[in-house]
Amino acid sequence: MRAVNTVSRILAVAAASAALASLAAADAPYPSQPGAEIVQGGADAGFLELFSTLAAQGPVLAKFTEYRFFPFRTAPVVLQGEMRFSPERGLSLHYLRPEESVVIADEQGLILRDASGRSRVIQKDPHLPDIGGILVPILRFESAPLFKAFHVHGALSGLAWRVDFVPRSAEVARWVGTVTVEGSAGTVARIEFRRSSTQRVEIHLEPPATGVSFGAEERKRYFR
Amino acid sequence: MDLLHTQRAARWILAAAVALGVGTLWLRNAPQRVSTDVLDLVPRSESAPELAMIRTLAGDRQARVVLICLAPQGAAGLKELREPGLAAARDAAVASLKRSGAFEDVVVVSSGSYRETLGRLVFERRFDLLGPAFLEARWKEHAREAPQAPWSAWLAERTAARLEAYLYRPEAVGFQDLLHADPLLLLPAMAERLQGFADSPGETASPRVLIWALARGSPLEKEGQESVFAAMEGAEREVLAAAPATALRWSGVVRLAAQSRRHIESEFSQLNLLSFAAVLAVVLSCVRRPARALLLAPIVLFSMLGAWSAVMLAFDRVHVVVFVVGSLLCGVSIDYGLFIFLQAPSSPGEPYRAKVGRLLRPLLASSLTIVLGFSTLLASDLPLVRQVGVFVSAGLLSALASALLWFAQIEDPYLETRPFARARPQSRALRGGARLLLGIAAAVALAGPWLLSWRDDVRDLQIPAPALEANDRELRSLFGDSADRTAYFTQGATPTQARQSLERFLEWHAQQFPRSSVLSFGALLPTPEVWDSLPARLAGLGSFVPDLREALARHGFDPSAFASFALDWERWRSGRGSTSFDSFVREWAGEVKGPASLAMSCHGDLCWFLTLAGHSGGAEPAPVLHTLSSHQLEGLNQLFGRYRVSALRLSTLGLAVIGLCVFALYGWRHGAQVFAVPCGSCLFAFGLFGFLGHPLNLFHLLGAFLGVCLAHNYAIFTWEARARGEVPPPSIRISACCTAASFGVLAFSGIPVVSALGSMVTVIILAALAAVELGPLSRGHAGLAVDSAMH
Repeated sequence: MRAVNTVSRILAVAAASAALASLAAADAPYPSQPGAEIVQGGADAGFLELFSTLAAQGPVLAKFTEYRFFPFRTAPVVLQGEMRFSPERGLSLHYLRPEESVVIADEQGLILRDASGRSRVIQKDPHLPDIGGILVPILRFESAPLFKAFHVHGALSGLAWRVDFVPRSAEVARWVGTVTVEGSAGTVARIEFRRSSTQRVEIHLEPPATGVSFGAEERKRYFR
Repeated sequence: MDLLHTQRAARWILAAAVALGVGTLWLRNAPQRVSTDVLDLVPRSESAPELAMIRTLAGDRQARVVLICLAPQGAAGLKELREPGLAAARDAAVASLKRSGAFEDVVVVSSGSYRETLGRLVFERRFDLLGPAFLEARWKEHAREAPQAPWSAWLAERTAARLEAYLYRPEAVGFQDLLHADPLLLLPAMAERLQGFADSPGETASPRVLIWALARGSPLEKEGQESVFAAMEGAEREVLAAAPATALRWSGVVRLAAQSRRHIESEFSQLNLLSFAAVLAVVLSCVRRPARALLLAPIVLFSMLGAWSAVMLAFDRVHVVVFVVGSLLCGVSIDYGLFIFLQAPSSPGEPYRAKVGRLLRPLLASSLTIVLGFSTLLASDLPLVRQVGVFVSAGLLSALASALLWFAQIEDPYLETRPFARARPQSRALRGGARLLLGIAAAVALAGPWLLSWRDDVRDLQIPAPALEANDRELRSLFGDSADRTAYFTQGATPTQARQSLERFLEWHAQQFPRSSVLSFGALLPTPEVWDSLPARLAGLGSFVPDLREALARHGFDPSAFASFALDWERWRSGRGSTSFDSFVREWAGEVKGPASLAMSCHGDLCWFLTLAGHSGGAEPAPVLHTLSSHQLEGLNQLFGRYRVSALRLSTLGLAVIGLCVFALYGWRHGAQVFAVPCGSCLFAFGLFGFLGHPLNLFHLLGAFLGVCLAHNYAIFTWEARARGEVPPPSIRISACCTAASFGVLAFSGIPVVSALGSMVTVIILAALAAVELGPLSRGHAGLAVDSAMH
């Protein structure tokens, strides 16, 4: 019986993937290749400082464009919307085009909410990687859980930077792939979610508004 | 010469009866016919859907499941037992269980491989399972939107458009590995139907291995239980040898059933011994020559032999509860022996025949009316009630016959009682006290029954085993069971009927619980109507593959990426024969292995589908939906409630028969005096339970009937003595005390229903004794006297 739910759990992975890939900013000359692995507590003080800066940003609101690449598709599928991130409440992606929907990812799992406000809750499945638990730390740039779950590679090119998160667990790698976050100074500009060259999701973020506060109505509509 | 003749004849008759009884038990292979299976308490022909379902579940694979959990033993184990150690323990357990031969299937469910296997199976059979409903839905859209368009081209265009739209949904990324083989979106649609259902086995930080095993033997039979226990012991040994820090825990119906059997068997022997001892203690303490009281023991044994033989002769299988309840016969069967043995001769040297002739009327009046009353229970639908009826009737007749025959052999068939057993003190204070007590009893009898509540639960038939049940709950929660869910079983005589009922049930459920998700393996299957329409839907789809290729290209897809789908589709479309829906479902049910195979059953003449709903409790489905909730199945309350009503009807009929006999024998006025004692005692017992707020069940009712019959004995014996101008014999007190003692023992049984029966009879007997003692005392009739005739 539970095995049938395996299929439905794919929804969780999918939605989380889409959710994660939505934290980016404008185009910039980012490093084209992954850098060396960053060792927690090692000499890469620059990246650790970057992580601290990004982690300290607090709530974020940004418009995004998402490109989904499928192996059976000649061109990517393009979606647009606005992203809200709260370190306490998790990530909320409000898709506006081509149709409206909301994906919420937090430590409790995932919620898919359609335009009418009808929610579908997807719980954690112990037989599958805890996508929320793995990916939310990336959004928060929390060093400890990040280094525990991923091999972290960093590359710098002037103010532009690139960090690649390679899952330590084969199971997570199978479902999630490598997550690449690119940005400039203290701003995230692009996130790539890559399983292969033909299976990936790219998220391009417009310059985000940081330090925003979400009102009660907004919290109710866009978070759990 | 006459005495010798009587003795010899009585001896021969007794010997012949014993030989007949022992022979019957031997020929009928009595030990093999004693059942501990709770299902033997209810009729095999029972048509109630709950019972048919329970019978199927108990006899089917579901009852044979054993759940096993391997985990580090304590904190030390957690430290010592690393992943490789647990894997070694798992391999050792699986190998041992498979080698034991006790299981036909052993699956490690925590590894994820089982789920993948099942997912692969659903994928491989996706066209059969999900294709018919897909085509039917599109067919209706086609008829509504563009009936003039060619079906194949329209379907291809609609398929490509749906697929393109789907890619914009969040879940599309997760399904991307499947979509090239499933552009019809059969599996995503299935996942959407199933999603939202909380399926989270208890999370834990500690590593563990969950193993699901299916036993070969029946969990309700001793052989099946022994093989599983031996296999589990072997597995535990090998697990500990492979990884000593591992704890193996397991549960299953087999474990609970074995525990229940052991408990009931132990209750059976203990209660019978205690009951016998209690009766003996009462008798020995009340007579002057205790050693002679042992002469009563054979009557009890004859009575038990008669009861056992009759019940074994009348029924193929007899539930052990009948014998536990049967221990009451110790207290009842001694009644007649006491009545004869404690009656002093009317004159010195009174021949035994004369004594029997003098006592025969009350003896026959009491025993035959009771037997007549209990015979009405033979009309019950419930085997247990019929078995109790036969057991008690045969036991009482045997007791009466053996008492008459046994004392014919005794030289001096009279046993003198101690003075206190015959004492009848009287004073003004006692008279006032007696009136007060009778007044209170009358108030309880009149007011208390209105406060009664009834609750029947099949679980009361077993002795609670809290530790095992807690272990079972914990293991089941590890395997994903939750108290927040309700399981529904939708049944039908054929897969077609069951699937049709399931469709109606799911509609009902959606209306009743609009916010609750449901998960049903049956819902994966097409309805029979949709299955039957499939050939017509496929008829015009010969060019579907090329049509789809063109449509995909128009919608921005690479058609060559869908080559595997084209191949699978053509193979399915051209290869499927004219399989009937029933055959298809039975075939599918046979293909599903492991835990998922328990979600449906299509063996024999009952087919059912399991539906899990994400809510607990709520409205129960109407009978027309042919669906039962797990709450109904666990309690069988409705069914047992019906049986209680049936037993109440029969008991009332039996009581009426007894009443008629009493009135026929003693006339209206005296008959009313006799009949008032059992009826009043019964009402008092009901009233007492009502005031105590103790819910009653079917077994309280049976106990009440038995109590009424026994109370009726005392009323007759008392009235007969008074009619002869004598003080009622002490045998009435001693009999009542014996009966109260033997039933009082039952009241302490660990089996709730046996305890219910014992407590009810004890209260009625004591109330009846109080009535026959206090009645004359309150009127100042008895006098402080010891009946001289008794000496």
